[in-house]
Amino acid sequence: MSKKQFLKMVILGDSGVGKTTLLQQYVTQKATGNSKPTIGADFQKKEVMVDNQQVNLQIWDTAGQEKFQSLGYAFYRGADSCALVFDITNHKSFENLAMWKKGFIENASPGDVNTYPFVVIGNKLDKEVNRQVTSQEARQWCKDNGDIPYYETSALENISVDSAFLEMAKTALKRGTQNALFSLPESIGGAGGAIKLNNFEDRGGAGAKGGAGKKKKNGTCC
Amino acid sequence: MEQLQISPMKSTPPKSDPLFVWPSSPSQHQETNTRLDEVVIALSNVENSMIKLREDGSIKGKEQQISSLRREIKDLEQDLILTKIDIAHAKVQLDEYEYQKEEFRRIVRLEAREAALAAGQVENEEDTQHQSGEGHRSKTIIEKMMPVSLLTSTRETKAQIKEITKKVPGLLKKLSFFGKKPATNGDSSLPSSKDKSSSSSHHTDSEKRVSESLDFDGTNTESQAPTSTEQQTFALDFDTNNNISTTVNTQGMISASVMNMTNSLLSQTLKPARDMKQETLSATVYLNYFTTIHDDKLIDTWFKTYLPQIRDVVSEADLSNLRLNLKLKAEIRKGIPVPLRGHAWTALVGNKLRISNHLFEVFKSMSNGSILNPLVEADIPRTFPHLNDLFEEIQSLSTSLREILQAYQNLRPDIGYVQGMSYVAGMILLHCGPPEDCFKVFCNVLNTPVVISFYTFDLLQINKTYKVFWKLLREYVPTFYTLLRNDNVSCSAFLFEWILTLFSSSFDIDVSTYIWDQVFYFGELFLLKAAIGVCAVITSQFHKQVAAGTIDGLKLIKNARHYVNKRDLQNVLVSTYKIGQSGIYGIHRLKMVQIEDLQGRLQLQLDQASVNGGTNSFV
Repeated sequence: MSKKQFLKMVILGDSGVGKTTLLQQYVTQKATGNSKPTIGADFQKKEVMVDNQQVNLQIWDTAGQEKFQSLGYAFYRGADSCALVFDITNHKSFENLAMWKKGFIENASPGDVNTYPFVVIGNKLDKEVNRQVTSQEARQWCKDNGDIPYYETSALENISVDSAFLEMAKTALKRGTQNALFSLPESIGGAGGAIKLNNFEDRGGAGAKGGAGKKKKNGTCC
Repeated sequence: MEQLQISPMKSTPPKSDPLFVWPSSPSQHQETNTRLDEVVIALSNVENSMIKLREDGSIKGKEQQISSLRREIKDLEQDLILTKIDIAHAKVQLDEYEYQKEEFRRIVRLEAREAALAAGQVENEEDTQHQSGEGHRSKTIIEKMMPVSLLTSTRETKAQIKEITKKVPGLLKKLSFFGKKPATNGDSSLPSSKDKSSSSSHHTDSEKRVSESLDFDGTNTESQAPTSTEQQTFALDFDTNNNISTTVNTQGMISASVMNMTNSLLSQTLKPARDMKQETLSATVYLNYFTTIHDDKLIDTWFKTYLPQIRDVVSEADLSNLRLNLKLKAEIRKGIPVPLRGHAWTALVGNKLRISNHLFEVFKSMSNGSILNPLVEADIPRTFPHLNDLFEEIQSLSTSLREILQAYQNLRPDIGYVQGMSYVAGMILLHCGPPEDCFKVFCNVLNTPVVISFYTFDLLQINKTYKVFWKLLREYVPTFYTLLRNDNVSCSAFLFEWILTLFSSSFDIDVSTYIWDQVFYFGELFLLKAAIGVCAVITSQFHKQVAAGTIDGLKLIKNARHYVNKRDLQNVLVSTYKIGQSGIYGIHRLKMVQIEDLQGRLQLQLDQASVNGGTNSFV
């Protein structure tokens, strides 16, 4: 394990909770208050040192609108860790955490759900005045959902952003990356992954996890 | 018997007919002849006088004078634009320095505070005095510790701005000489400028201020000084632009948006410097887009020839005939002139859905009183972040955006609002006039088979489109194809957004509008061609790395905005067309039929021009 490690992470949560800003702050140490709505998905890369080990993070920033969840399959698959983000000034976004978690588990089928490294992030600590979700409430939810670590952050003012992501990386590393072989999604969702993007060739049970790991170059088709 | 009776009736001489002049009468003949002679003489007289006039040097001289004056005006206008860009650039640079300075000051302050804390333990009693003294102290520390390079570069930029500022009044004077009626006073032509400081209004004031700012005393005035001159240039620009636009009868929206962008630029002085850099640059892109002066002749021909041709299109057959019009096709490939873009788009898109103004009113009023979609509300100001002020301040524009999105939700409740719509609607609103017209364009643009499949998340169709994309990419830009394939990239990571927003969210406005021209003229399959074109432009810029596979393809494609400009894209698309028989413009028929098999529903939309060939003439 002394080699370069590769981790894929996904950030989920309602539209406008600050997923893009979180990622922007983490990767570039800058944050503007007015990021565009994410359409489809975006991604960033970052190299970090975790426990004296160099780790390449590939973090996927997903669209917050529920409709886009049907595309999620492509981005969730093979994720080593998942951040569920809500806005502490918006109770609805907190209530939706369960929905996002469920959607992730359905689409990513991450093996043992109970040990999967989720992290819950309550963002917009800078708007403490308008808080609608108490820390206690959030912690309770995390406890009930299998002791998920909980962080309160401010993406705008860079509070606890690094530690939240570091926690994700650490727990993911501990669990061991299962999917180091393939990194990027190559198909989009729908009926159990029956529709493959590049099924120029038959790939058998490609819907199953890791099926894409055996991917060959598509040199012979068409 | 009957015939005999009729024939005399027919042969009745037409003399009785008063409308008919019988030419055979000799007297009338003569009259006509003499009249003809008179006319001929008169004509020759006129011709003679015309020749005399022409020979008369004064008119010729005047004509020359006029044309030279015109040229001069044009040069001046160009100068102004260049100056404006210079100012914007210099300002950005200044802001960067300001930011660095601010950072530096912060660090110094922190250090000073720490030192103060350490010292404070000894001199607790002097606490109050200390605080007041801290400012002085940190200031001197700043001057001591500030890197010399930073200081000098800040000064240089300021001097640069001052120099540019000096040019402005001269230009103003020259232009006013030509009767262009430029604004001599910044705030007179700028209604409701957001800038609250009244001090930045007069020109003489601003010059003073610039020289003051050279003292580098770290107060706010220095950032206002360039602003006020900028205000003037932009105000002037707005004015000249107005003159041009009125001649071609374009919407007032362009000038309104320019005006507002000026405001947005101004108001940005209040924002933190580091946000500003990107935003100022993006706003400058928009500003340039709308203020670039176009060739009058070209606009004239467009207005008189091409636009009517496009407007004549009623049926699908008309549209395919229009695609055979080689002159028009060549013009479209160059891009439609900005002031006429809205008109051309409206006509090209048509109104297959037969949406009436009344329908828009009905759907608009349906959402009155009901709960507005919070997502729409949140996205409206996020749509063009650097143009926030444009959409927030011109109340009508942001209201129109809301109205259109709400009305569409009522029209297609099954689709509702999908993030990304706001870009398309915003783009249309920037070009196509009143909201009811924009609504028609919007609905019809979304209603094309490929685009709608993305909005309905029809995964089967989306996958088919992706497949075509891979196929085309493999054929036309094989190296890039290999790069992406080796990285296992899914095209839903980028192509989804591109097609959903018709390239409007991820590219600069001049690139995306250029693509829109092509898409509306050639058909929606051009979206795929444009995507291939973008990949080709990127590949041509990073040829070696792409071929060697030493570069992150997805990162390149996600940052495509920075690598693709209109000229390169146009070159790639057009030159390939010229060289090869199978340029991207004319993916040839045979292959399209194959694709159609894959695509099922997709219509065959291609250039008639290229039916043969099929070599990889790309890159």
